[in-house]
Amino acid sequence: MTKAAFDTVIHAPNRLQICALLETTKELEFQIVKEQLDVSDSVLSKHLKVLEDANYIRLIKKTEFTRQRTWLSLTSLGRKAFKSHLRELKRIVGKI
Amino acid sequence: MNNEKETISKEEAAATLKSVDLTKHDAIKSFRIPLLLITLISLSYSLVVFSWGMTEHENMWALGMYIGAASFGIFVALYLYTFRLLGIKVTVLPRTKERIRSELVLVVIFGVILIAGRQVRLLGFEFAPHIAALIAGGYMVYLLYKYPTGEYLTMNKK
Repeated sequence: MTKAAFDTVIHAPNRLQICALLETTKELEFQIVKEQLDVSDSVLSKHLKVLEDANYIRLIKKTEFTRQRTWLSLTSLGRKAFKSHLRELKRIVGKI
Repeated sequence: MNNEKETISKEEAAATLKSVDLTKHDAIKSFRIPLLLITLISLSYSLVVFSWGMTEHENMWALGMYIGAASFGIFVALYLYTFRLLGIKVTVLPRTKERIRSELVLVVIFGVILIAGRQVRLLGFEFAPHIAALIAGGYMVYLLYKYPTGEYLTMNKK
């Protein structure tokens, strides 16, 4: 076992996937993230709340064409934390 | 994996990195826009490259350049709008150093193709604009298909 300075907020599988998804774009809609993760609304909301409390993601609710949409994006802090977490994983694997 | 854990084995770390890669690549695959739109964007850009290569004072190819540029702008706007309707907002302006670097490399590549198409024709090879347009269009199709959101992903291979 290797001792590592982990970001435990990000390391949970679903939250790691959320961060990975959000890293590929500027913003994603709640529904898209839900479909990609194949989880229920409540499960996703719970994970998003944890990430939002850590200031890693931003949730913006907008009404577009009479439809309520929730847009998710990584904050710069979240982007840095995610990258640093991946660097840590690579260090453990021995790639750095 | 446990979110409270602060230690992790090498195998677990490798598996986590692999799952991150898979998530990103599956997402990128599902984010692809219709091939028709990719083709239209690439064709309009090819028209710009070809017309620029063929433009002379005594011909009308400059018009092709303007039509190509206008179509390119319209199709790119449509591409961004399609993504938005699907629930995806694409990063237009690069934010990270890696992204700025790769965008600059692309600007140089497309710039060289554009200029070379014209200059080589002026040197005597009349099919240079045709080849330049083909290369530029083909490369544009590849980029739009492979990296639809503009993010260049690298696999965390073991």
